Amino acid sequence: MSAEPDEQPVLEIRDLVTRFYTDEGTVKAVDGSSFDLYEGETLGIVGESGSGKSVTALSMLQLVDSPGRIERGSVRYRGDDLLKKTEAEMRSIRGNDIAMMFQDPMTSLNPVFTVGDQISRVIKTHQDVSDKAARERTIELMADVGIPEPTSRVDNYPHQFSGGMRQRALLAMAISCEPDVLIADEPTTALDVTIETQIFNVLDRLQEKYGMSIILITHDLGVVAGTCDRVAVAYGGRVVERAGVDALFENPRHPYTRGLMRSIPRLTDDTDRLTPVEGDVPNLTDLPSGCSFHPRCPHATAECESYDPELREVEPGREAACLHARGYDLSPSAIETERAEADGGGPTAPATDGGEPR
Amino acid sequence: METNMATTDQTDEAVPAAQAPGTHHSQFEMFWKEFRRNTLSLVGSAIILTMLLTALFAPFLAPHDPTTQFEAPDGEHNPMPMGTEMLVENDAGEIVGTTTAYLGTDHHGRDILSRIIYGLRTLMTVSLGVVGFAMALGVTAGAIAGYYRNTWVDEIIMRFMDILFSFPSLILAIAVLGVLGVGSTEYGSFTLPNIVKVIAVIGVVYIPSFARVMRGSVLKEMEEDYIDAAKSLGASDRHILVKDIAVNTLPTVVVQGTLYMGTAVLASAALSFLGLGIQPPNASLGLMLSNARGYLYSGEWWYSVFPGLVIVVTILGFNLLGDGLRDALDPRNDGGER
Amino acid sequence: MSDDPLLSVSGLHKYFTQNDGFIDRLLGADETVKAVNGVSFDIERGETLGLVGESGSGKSTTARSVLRLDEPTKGTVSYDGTDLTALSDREMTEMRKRIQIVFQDPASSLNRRKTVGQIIKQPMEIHGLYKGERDARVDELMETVGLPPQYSNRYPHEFSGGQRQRVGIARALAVDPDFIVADEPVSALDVSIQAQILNLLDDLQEEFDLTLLFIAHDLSVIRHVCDRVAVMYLGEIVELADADELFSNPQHPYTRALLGAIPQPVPELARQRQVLEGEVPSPLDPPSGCSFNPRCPEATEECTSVDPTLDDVAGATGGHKAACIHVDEFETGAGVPSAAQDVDERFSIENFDAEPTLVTDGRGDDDR
Repeated sequence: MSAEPDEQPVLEIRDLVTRFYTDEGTVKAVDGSSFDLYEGETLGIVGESGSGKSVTALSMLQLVDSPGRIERGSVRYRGDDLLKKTEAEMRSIRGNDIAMMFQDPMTSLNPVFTVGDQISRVIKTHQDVSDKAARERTIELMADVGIPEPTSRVDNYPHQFSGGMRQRALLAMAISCEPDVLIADEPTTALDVTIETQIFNVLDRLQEKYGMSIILITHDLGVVAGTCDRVAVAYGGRVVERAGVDALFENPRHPYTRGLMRSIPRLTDDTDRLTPVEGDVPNLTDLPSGCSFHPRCPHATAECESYDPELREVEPGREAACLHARGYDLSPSAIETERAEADGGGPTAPATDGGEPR
Repeated sequence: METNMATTDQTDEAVPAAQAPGTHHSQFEMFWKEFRRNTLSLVGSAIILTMLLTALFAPFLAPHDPTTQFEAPDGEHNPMPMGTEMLVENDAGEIVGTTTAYLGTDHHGRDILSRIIYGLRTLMTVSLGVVGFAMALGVTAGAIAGYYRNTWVDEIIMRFMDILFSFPSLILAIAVLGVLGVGSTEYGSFTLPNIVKVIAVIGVVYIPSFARVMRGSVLKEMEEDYIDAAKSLGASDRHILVKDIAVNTLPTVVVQGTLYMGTAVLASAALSFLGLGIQPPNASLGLMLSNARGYLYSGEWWYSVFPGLVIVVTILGFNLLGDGLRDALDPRNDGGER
Repeated sequence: MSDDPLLSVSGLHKYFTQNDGFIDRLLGADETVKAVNGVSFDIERGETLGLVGESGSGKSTTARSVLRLDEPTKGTVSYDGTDLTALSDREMTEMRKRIQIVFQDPASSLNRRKTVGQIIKQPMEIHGLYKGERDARVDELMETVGLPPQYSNRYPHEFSGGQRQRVGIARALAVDPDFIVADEPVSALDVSIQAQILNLLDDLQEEFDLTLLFIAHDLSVIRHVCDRVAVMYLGEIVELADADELFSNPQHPYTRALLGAIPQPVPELARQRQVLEGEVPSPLDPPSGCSFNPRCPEATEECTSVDPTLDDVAGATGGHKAACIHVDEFETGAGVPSAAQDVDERFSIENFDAEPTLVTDGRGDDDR
């Protein structure tokens, strides 16, 4: 399960920029996000509203609708840049190689078709199979995701399913073509905690069975701690910290992550007072200058207001985008390179970027 | 207090950029910003504004009295074509000069331009009356039904609306006018003016539409927590309906009203066309069309085309305006920043 | 001040009928949902009672029935000695000055076409309070909840979620209540904002001597906020205890399962989440006996027939009650440890540059 060091990542996202051009201004939903997904691992992308985490997922599959536009960056899937693919090519990739599972099990299923119909339709889109074979496969999948009595429930309509069962049906749909990568966007946010545990259990089992790599998008640090191998923390449209899950929870290296860890109420702690992250989540139409966390950062200095830190290696295997993180390369040459990049505006090859892996 | 959004010296930082001073917009500013983006809705409002002003200032704008019957010096037969020079008589019947019939005359030699301007006035009065009448009754009924949803009050109101709705509008109007008689009716010392009668018979069938839209709109608002918040504050039903729900449903009702103006224009023109609406010699666009119909094939096209065009453009104007208002007032547009 | 509880709920029932049309109801054929099925609890002055449960547990309906936003079907709600269920509408309106509510969704609970100033002023207008000084009071309230008063002419959508929730709290405070129902006040908010609002509520409780009924699905939040906790399942309270007692010594199998299922932000603990199988049964067709028996890992034959009552737990302290016939057979002290490590210190900014204390197990963080 754990990521092999020298392996080529399944997905390699570099400097992804997606913007929405609205009347209220340009929304920098994704503002230079970079991360990797390795074979068989679960990568958590954790962030609050306005962190751009959901748009990142949509951008990877080119599912961003107008007025949104993917401005630049690359999404390499096994070496192939997905952003250069045509819509037709993408259609054969979506669902087949990379599947996506959305948050709301209510609206993601069409109320006028049976659950079975909707799952078999996905199968038939990507595979040349008979109706009967698709139905049999559907029943098999429904059993796989733990829907009881799949042979009879295959003919049920979504409203006859509970929220948890609907989420399982969506999961069955997502894995119907045995995808390489599953992107799950807040898959359990609408569910109760006992149902959430059940879903993650199923997800774990399926990951092992099909050898999927999973990107789990969530706002819940507890979910991340329990299910992910590695974590990317998103804030203000970009990844501000990347680390293995144990290292991240032991000693977060970005002040935002530290703030989050301090502010969340814990079951094991009964103090009356919590220590909040002051201020508000940033507005993506008008991000603060410099480091977008600086207005809320207890660690911020004058430099933070003007200097926009890149994600840099701060210790082996971990990166943070903070000037003040121990190990963050502040040598004149590194800063010079970064300034040049910022002035140049365009994407620069990662080669000039000291802390970037590969 | 330490829980304040930030330490005091940082208050401005703590306020999200969306509400930094200078970006605050009043509700009207926000509406106008949306509205003016759409060229078609601007065209629509220009049309409607022109039409309303024309109707309002008809006596100043019309070149002639709409009922004066002109004659041409060369004995041109009626209806006279566009640009005909007509003789102007004084009160004593002496010819004092000539004038031009820009849009020609009708079969009685009356100036079509003047009759269109006065006809527009009638049309606008009737249409506004119809929509106002239907809106006032429909919105009230719908609001009450929606607020007391699933009670006998709701049931009685809405079933009555269903009955009203099942009448074909024009046929109901014809039937009612057939019984009451066309023109002003006198009940003892009380005179029921014709126009009121026309407004009521056309308007009554639109009441259910407004009631349904309003009820739906109120039901949607009832789902919102702020209604419960008001109840838990001890607000009376009337307070909640008038102070809380009304401000939120008003946009929907305004849009519906504007869109129904087009329909009302068409219906009042149609009623006039059938001779059941405004009675001659008052100018009425529908009546003009009705009279002009016989002259269309004999080549006197101006008599029917100009009044027809005005009706079409007016309806178009209301529909464009209504669509524009709907887009600009759409509650989906004010959902906040996310 | 008397020693009687401020609020005393006794045998509260709230049934809903499935048919919503008037004609349907005339024709009969009702299906009754017992959303709240005999709930009793007291809230002492100045204390915070937490009502926790999953969706369908009836916790919100209980709160709404207490406030008579839903009329209770049966039972009494005694507030400071007055039975609220017996009051006329007019008397209840008077009473609402003393009882307020903060809603879950700050977007929905504020009228979007009113300025926040108008929203906060509304309760004073309804009750005719603070005539002539309402604007000043609005400013004062906004400051109290940590909002800059100069923004009182702005509309709710110009504020962030956390700020909107502050507006909702200011509105609740406008009539000087002594009791506030907080219905999931932070579950719609961003993680980093939740702590701000929870701290604000804590401050206000102290400043204005408030008694709180705090409803949440998140036990971690409950632990930080509440003095006592009632756990609900399918319309009934299954366990009631002091917060410390409940978390350190949970007795009802459902409470234990719930505690075990919570994903804690500690990888070692979170990976050991326990799975409670099954789903909450339909309240249209509740199971016989104990309503938790189909999912209960400890259930016996007896549980399908005997409906347990909320009884004192033998040997436990602080009025600990549980509704389970097997309650005396369970081990004690199986809850979560208290204050395992001082989180504030561990993630403090001072320690920001500290050397890592953990030798990682190599899991995932050596991907290069």
